[in-house]
This record gives sequence, structure tokens and C-alpha cells, in this order.
Amino acid sequence: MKHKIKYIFLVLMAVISFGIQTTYAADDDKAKAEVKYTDATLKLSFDTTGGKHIIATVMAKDPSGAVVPVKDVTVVIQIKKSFGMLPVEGDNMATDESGTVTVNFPKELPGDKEGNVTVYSKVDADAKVGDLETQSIVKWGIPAEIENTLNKRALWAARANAPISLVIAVNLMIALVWGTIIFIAFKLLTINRLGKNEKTIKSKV
Amino acid sequence: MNSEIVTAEKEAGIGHHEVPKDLLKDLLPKKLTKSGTIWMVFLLIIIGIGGYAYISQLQKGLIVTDMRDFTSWGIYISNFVFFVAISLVGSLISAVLKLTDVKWRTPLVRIAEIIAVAAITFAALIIIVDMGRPERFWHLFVYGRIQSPIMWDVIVITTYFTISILLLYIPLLPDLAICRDKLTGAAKWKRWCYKFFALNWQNTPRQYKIVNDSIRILAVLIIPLALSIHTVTSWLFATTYRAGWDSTNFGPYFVAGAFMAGCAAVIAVTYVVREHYGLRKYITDKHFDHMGKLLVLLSLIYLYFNVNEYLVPGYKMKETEGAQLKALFTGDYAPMFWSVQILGLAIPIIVLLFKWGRKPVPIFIISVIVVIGAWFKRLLIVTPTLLHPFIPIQNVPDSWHHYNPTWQEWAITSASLAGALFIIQIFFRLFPVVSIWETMEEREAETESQKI
Repeated sequence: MKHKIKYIFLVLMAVISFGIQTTYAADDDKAKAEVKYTDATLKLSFDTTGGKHIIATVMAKDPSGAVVPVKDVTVVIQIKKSFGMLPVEGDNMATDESGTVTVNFPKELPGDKEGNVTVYSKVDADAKVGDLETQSIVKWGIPAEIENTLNKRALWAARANAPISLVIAVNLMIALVWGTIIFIAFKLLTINRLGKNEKTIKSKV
Repeated sequence: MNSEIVTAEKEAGIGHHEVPKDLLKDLLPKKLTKSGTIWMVFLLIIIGIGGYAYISQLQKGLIVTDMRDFTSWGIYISNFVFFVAISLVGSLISAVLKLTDVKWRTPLVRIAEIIAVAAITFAALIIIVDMGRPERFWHLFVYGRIQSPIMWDVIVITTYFTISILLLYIPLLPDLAICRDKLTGAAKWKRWCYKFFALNWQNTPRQYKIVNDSIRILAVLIIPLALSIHTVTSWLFATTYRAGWDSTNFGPYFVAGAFMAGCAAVIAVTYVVREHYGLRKYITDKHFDHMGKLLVLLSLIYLYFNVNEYLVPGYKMKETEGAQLKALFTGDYAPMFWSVQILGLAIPIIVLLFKWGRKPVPIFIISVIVVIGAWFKRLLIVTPTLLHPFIPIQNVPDSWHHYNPTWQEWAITSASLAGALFIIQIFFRLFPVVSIWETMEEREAETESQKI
């Protein structure tokens, strides 16, 4: 029984000892993470190997002045929509040892007339690199056929683009009615002329 | 037969050279009486107060009104619709009754036409009053979009105004010549006016022919135009997607209401004119009886449209329409709505169905009630709809949920109504109320028929 207790005690000690060691190791990593990076940069690049990928890379200078990749930085990648942003996410949005995050470019994403798509990437208030932001244009979107309704003749269009049938109908009606009004106005002038002639005849008589 | 004889006489050169003395005595414009002067001063005071209110509106902007984001059309637009409605009577009496050869219309034509001209003038003016920046009114002509019903309304109103003026002026020509020749003791400016506007009228057969032809052309032209003017006005509402306005029925509904209101206005003005100018010999009980029958017919048509306009959506009670209809049937607007429907529509129909109801005094009272009802009816069409938008009114000051016109709005609206009445009075002060030459023509035709 005594032996049993002794073994249990030893196993417990071993476990505690491992725990302490692990804690020290973690503290060691934390100490490493608290390395002050300067001049951090966020860059976007695009890769077509095995599909279309967006790659965001976080680099910074370590205390020695060497430019190194920064690990474990959470990066946000978005694509500009007509109104607002479309978030693009992969399995892991934290940078790996090479300082990169890779996500798949969404399929069948509409772009502008040329197929251009604006990709944004940012890092928000990261303990190591702070705030970073960048954007880049890539021609991976489906070219959009943008119909310019402003230049089309329609009821809702600008004055110059009124439907031709409406313009003709309205002007025809205006011409018809105002033509008659002008005709009547000329008739009034005839009444005046006839009266003048009659007066002249009467005065001669 | 009679008209043929008269026309033949005219073509032969037998014109209205000698006007019977009784016609001259009865029908030539008379000096202003004491009651006429008091009425004129009263109208001028109302116009003055309205003018003062409008200056205040010009200085401070539309903030002096109770119109806000939701009730953006208030009593100014209701008043505009009312004036357009009243103006339609010119086409009814001058054109519809002329083309259907209704003989008794003669003494009423000029009254109807001046009502039409006065009403359409103030319809145009009240639209400018409703504008926050009236100095930009001309932009409508320069930058206006032909696709907009507002632009169509501007075109139709301008055209209708011009034709109404012509339909008032052309039949006036022989009477202007009579005024020119007979009223030699009138003030110099008046004599100048008669001479200038008489266009050297000499009673020649060709001049008469031109006058008659022109009236006939204009009578044909003004009917579709009259229908257009109020149909387009109804489209200002019906082309927008709103509870109470989203109706394909609105054009005929507006036109029917307009003919009814205009007919009542003519009866009311005719009664006052007849009593004031002592024209019982020319405007008889028979005229009121005929106009009463016409008013019943028009009221029944309007009642039919009202049943359609309220019963069908009321049966369905779709959510937003339901809220608006409840406001009319049992809510805030119920007293006004039921007063208009009962006093301004149902009771006039019942009373005018009886012969005693078509006697001058009862029909005058009924007509005044119909006209007042017609004004409030337009307010009921405009405002409750605006206060019941499809997207609920939220997060706005409590006062925006209601519309209570300010004193400026009431003063300006009253001034426009007084202004229309003022134009009518000034016109009858200067020109014969009843057409002298057409009365002579009727008399000659009667004499000829008796001879035959």
C-alpha cells in the first residue's frame, strides 16, 4: 500500500513538474511575442497556382533591424462591393511563420466593366504591428455589363431623354390645339379688318 | 328652322343694328350699388389679409404653414384641385350644352365662362403660392420634364385658360360694340376699353359668321381639353403609389366631381347675379329647374364614383389603405367625411329630385352647400392619404402626425377664393351679364316661329 502511495506521489510530482515546465515554455513564447516590431507592412499579392488565391503578408523590422515575417497576426480580407464590403475568409486568418494568410478568391465574382476587383486587407489594433491597411486591384472579376439607364430614353430619364413616342404625342397635341388657337386669333384680326373696311364704306356713304 | 332664319338674316346683312330699349336698360352694366360696394370692400379686405399672409410666407418660407415632411400638400393643393374642378363648368355650359343644342343655356353662358376664367386663373396662382421658391416658377418651362404629370398639368392649364378666355371674349364682341355705342357717358378709360376690345365690330354678316364659326370650333376643342385638365390633375395623385390615390378610377372620378361642383357654382352665382342685377325676366325659374336637373344627374354620377372609390378598397381593407379609410370613416376625418358625403352629396340629390327643391331659393342654398362640400372633399382626397404613408411615420415630432393649417394658409386660401369672386364681380360691373345679342337672336327666332 505504502508503495502504491509512493508511486502515485511520484506520478503526481512528474505531472506537476511537466506543467511547470510547460508554463515556463509558454512564458518564454510570450516573452518572444512581446518583441517590439517596427515599420510593419501589409502587402497583398495574388497567386494562380491551383486556383486563384489572395495572399496577405505582414512583414516588420525586429529590434535588430532585420525585416522579418510576423506570425499570428489576424488579417481581414475584403472585396469592395457596389455598396459595402464582401468579407473573404479562409480556415485560418492569422499569419503563419512566413507572415502570410492565403484565402481563395470567390468564384464568379462580378467586377467592373474590365473585370477589375478591388481587394482590401487590414489588421486591426494588433499587439505586435498595430493598425495596417492596404488595397490592390486585380482583374479576376467577371466583366460587368453596366447598362447606363441615364442615357436611355425612359419615363424616369432626364428631360433630354424623354421617350420619343411621348415627345411626339405631346408636341402633336400642343401643335394641334395651339394651331387652332392661333387660327382663331387670326380670325379676330379679320374681324377687326372687316370692321375697319365697313367703317370706311360707311364714312364714304 | 329658327336658327336657319336667323343665320339667313345675318348672311343677308340684316344684323342687330337696333337693340331694343328694354334690353339695353336691363342688360347693360350698371353702377355699383351700396350692397355691391360693401361686398367688394369685404372681398378686398380678405384679399389684403391674404396678401399680408403671403408676404409673411415669402419672408419666412413655407415654415409658416403646417406642411411638413409627410403632409407636403395641404390646403393650397386642395384649393388648386377645387379651382380646376370649378373651371370645368365653362366647357359644360359653353360647349356641351351648345353642341347638344340646349336653348335655355343662353343667359348662363357668360356666367359660366367668367367663373371658368376666374377659377383657372386662381388655380394657376395657388400653385405658385404652394412653391417654396416662387421666383423659380419659370424653371418649370425651361427645365421641365415632359415625362412628368406636373408638366402636363402646366401645359393643359395654360391651354385651357387661353381657350376659356377666347370663349368668354369672342361671344362678347357684339356686346362690347353695343357698350361702345350706347355707354357714351361712361368713364373715359371704360370707353377706351370698349372701343379697343370691340375690334371695330360693325355687325356685318361676315363678322357674325366668324364669331359663330369660332365659337363652334372652340366648343368642340374645349371638351377634350376640359376632360384632360382634370384627368391630368387627378394623375398628379393617381400616378403615385399611395393609399387612397393608387386608383385607375381617379380620372373619371375627378371629372364627375368637377362637373358637379362647377354646375353648383354656376347656380349659386346665377342666383346672386339675378337678384342683384334684377334679371328675373331673363333668368327665370325654368333655368334653375333645368340646372337643378342637370345637378342631380351629375351628383348621381359622382355618387356612383364615390361608391366605387370607397366601397371597393373598404371591402378589402388592405393594411395601409385600411388605416387611411378608417381615418375617414371613423377616425379624425370622420366628421368632415360624413358631412361632405351626406350634406354635400346625398341630401342635394334627394332635395333636387323634387320640383320644389329646384326653385331658386332652395337650389341656391343647396348649391352653396355643394360648393362648400366640394372644397372640403378635395381636402379629404389630399391630406389623409399623405398622413398614411406605406412606411409608418416614426421618430418625428408629434405635430407631424397631424395637419392643422396655419392662419397664413387659411388667409391665403380665403384670399384666393375672394379673388375669384372679385374677378367675377368686376367683370359684371364692366360687361353685360347676359349676352344682349344672343338674347336678341332668340327673340327674333321666337317672333319668326310665331309668324310661321
